[in-house]
Amino acid sequence: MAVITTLQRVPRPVVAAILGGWAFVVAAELWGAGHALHHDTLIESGLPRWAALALFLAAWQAMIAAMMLPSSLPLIALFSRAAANQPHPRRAFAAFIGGYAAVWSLFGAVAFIGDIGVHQAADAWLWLRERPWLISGSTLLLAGAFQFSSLKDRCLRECRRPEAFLVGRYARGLPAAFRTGWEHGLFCLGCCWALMLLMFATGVANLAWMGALTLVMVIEKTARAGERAVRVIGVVLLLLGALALAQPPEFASLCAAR
Amino acid sequence: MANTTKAPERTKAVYRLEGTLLEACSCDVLCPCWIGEDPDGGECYGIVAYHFSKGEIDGVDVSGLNLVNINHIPGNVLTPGSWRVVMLVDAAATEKQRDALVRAFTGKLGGPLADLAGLVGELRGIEIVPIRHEISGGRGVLRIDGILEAEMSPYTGPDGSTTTLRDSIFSTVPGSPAYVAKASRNRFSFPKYGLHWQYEGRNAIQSDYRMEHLQ
Repeated sequence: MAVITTLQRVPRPVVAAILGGWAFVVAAELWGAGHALHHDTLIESGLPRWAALALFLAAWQAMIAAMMLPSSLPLIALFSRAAANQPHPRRAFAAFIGGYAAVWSLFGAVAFIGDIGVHQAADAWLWLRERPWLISGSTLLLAGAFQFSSLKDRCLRECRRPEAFLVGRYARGLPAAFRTGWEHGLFCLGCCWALMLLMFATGVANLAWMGALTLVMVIEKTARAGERAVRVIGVVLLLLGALALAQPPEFASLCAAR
Repeated sequence: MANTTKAPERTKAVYRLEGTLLEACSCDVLCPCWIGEDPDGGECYGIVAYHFSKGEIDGVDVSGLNLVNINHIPGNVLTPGSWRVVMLVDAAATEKQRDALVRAFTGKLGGPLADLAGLVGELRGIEIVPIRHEISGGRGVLRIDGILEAEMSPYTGPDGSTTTLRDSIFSTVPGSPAYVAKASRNRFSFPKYGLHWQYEGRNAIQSDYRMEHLQ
């Protein structure tokens, strides 16, 4: 019920974007297009790098909508309510969402280019190519360890207190709206970059991981037990990472289970 | 025509405020005032303390004055009308200055402050109190006799230097640092409104503040 009343206070286009993002990913999975949009496939596809990056960023928008918007709904709802009194409320809101999406798009682009580097390293280095679990395992360890960092705490604090965030930096106009979205996006990035990096280790548009990670981010940012959950999730990720490194076949079967 | 005569100003500032904003929450590092969740202990209090180093509202100079909003969020942060605010205005202000501050922060003068005031469900009261706001760089004391006492110091690095988040997203004014401080003591008691809290070792953030409305 609480979720429903919250959704009623969120601008409809945002709800539509979240549902659309998930619909896109599920549809891609069902029709086998998910594989085609997978960053690994894109990198190995022989497409020009820029085209692969553009395709990836297009698919990545659906990932942002599906995975990142849900945990930011509180600030989104507050901003849209405050901005309703502006001279151009819709444009301001679009600029706000644009700023938020810009941060995550930039992150996606950097991670994608980094992934090209990882692939090149794997191609050049037979030892690494034969041990792909080293990449997913170390990403899991990194994400797990980050759960215990002070940066995570600080960013999460801002994410969880949208009213304080807004009171301190709200201003009218499109540039201000974009900046508010951008800054909120930076805090979210500070909280969740390591979790989103996991999407690269496990494969963009892998439904099981997407669902699990979205749930984790929503709990961390919005639930009462979020603070304690951060540590618990950290421990789980560290254990998964250790499993990936120590028992690659078992980990592979765990990941394959949908 | 030669540009010797000064053109009349096309934009007039309804208000223009500059200074610092200190915010602290009663709910530890994280405030669980979220979707459908009741905050710890059923409610959440936040202090937002403004110090205006320079400011003008409707032609009234408010430089050097203070304003403290006590936000009381009884349940879900998103429930319309759930925010309840007690506004504490600096007793050092003249009647004209008080009036200007109250009109700006209750949204009567329009602009961004009106947009934010629209999020508040109930203004429970406006109190004129002596506010001693002696916090800069995340260090110092905020005291309202008989009501509020908060003492804080910034986090320091291993070498003893103050931890600032320079050029950071924590700050509203580009290039200025935000200070993350630990409130060693924070006591608040206002029986008239049934508000009480006391806690130690919670986080607070002080950053530069700028708010303006041009017309």
